[in-house]
Amino acid sequence: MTDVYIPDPIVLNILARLPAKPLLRFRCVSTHWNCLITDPSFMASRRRIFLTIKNLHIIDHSDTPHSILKISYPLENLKGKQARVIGTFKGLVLVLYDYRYRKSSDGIIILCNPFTQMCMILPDPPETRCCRLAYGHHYCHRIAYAYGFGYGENLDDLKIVRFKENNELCRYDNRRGVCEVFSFKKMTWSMSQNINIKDIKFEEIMGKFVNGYLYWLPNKDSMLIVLDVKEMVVSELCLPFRRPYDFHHSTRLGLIDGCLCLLNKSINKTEFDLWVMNEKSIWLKRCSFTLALDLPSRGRFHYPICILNDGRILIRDSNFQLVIYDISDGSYTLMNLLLDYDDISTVHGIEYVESLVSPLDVCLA
Amino acid sequence: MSTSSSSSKKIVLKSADNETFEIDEIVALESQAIKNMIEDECADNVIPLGNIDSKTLSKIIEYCKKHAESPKKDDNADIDEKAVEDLKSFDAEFAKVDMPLIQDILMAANFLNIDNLIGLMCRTIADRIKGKTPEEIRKILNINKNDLLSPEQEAKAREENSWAFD
Repeated sequence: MTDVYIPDPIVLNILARLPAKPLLRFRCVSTHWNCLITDPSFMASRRRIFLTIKNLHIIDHSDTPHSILKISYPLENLKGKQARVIGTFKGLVLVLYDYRYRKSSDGIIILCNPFTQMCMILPDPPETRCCRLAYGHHYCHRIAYAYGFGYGENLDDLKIVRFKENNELCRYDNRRGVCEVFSFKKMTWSMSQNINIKDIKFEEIMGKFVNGYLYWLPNKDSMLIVLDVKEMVVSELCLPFRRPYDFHHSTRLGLIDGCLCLLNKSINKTEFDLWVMNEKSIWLKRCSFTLALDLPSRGRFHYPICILNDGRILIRDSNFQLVIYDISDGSYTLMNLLLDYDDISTVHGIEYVESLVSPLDVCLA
Repeated sequence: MSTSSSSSKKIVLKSADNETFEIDEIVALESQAIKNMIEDECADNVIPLGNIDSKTLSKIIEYCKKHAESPKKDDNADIDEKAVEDLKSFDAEFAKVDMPLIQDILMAANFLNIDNLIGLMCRTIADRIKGKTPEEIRKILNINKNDLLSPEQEAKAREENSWAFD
């Protein structure tokens, strides 16, 4: 029976479970395998989570048991430094390293392909260390920026957007609220003249990109900040619920089936509501649920890290474990990764689709 | 849902080499294909499986028995952690067979539509082949030798992802 030809769905099922290196090597197995592996739809099925804690990790959540790979790139000397993911595009992930680790600038922004492990350092943003001058060294880490990564009319219009937040510590800085834009076409930063968001503070500093728009969650008021990436115009969008005034980190933005969604923790802190925005910009409540992990009374300490496209949620539970929770049936999978207490505020994740796109392809477009 | 074996209905499976296996219906239901046959009432006496030999079939039944007995996630919110661990170690032991048998089980699981088992076998194969060269893969998985890449195509694949060939 071993002479039997293996059907394509089975071959793809096997290939889907291979890490990058053997997968790409196996293009040479046969012309058929070469076709299967290089087919964009095959690659598009390989979804992974890019997770930043102290180090960078890649989670393969398509398979059970889920696997976690700790990675040492992009740069060896940044290992263990605080990183955050700004966004993703065609299998590339934009990572920001906090400026604290680099005296000369605000931070390092790196564009990398976690699949091929190629990465590239982007030009530094313009110097904006206002607070250090105004308040001395002590407060300099309080400068906050909100970031976004997306494109306007077409893929060539890819850009990074950065707002300087209106922080009370920066109140004498007349550049607060300004918007800086990095164009991948020109490979330079510039100031966007028309935009100023002087009175806005951000709760979640990384924007979500959906269909030409970037969305951020400010830390008060029941609204979202929306940037039309093509026209570079800022507007506001009402949330479908009122947010409690003093309750931070109760809401999380994400993408489900390519649509913007909101996960909101209720006042009693154990129940969640999931809202999805349809193509007419109308919010629809998808479901309400209680996380049925360990003791219900501890549910309030569960903290959603990221919402996955298929509707599952990556959560840090009250025991500092990572869990992938399936809303549809209440099932969950514990990940073999225990966080330290210190990691609570620094764990961030984003789901991306693997690809063979090189950072150079985007930068030289 | 009862998993007691004494009272439940029996199903008879017949392998390609004419060996018959009497199993509880609940075990047979692990196979989506057999489940459909039972639901469509076309599984009256013996279900002939003309493309699965007895060695493969007995392995499949061993797997289905264990998984049918094991508590399902949706049965109970308090999933017994021990049961989950137990099933995991059963799966790991189950997969410790030679490559030809793995492939036979995979083909049979595919035919019988046993999702978990397909996943387990694919994962096992992926684990075993990931350190191999393309030549070894062709041998292990019986890839058609008339379907090799031309030297130009091969050079292109190597050049595009040279880091993967280090």
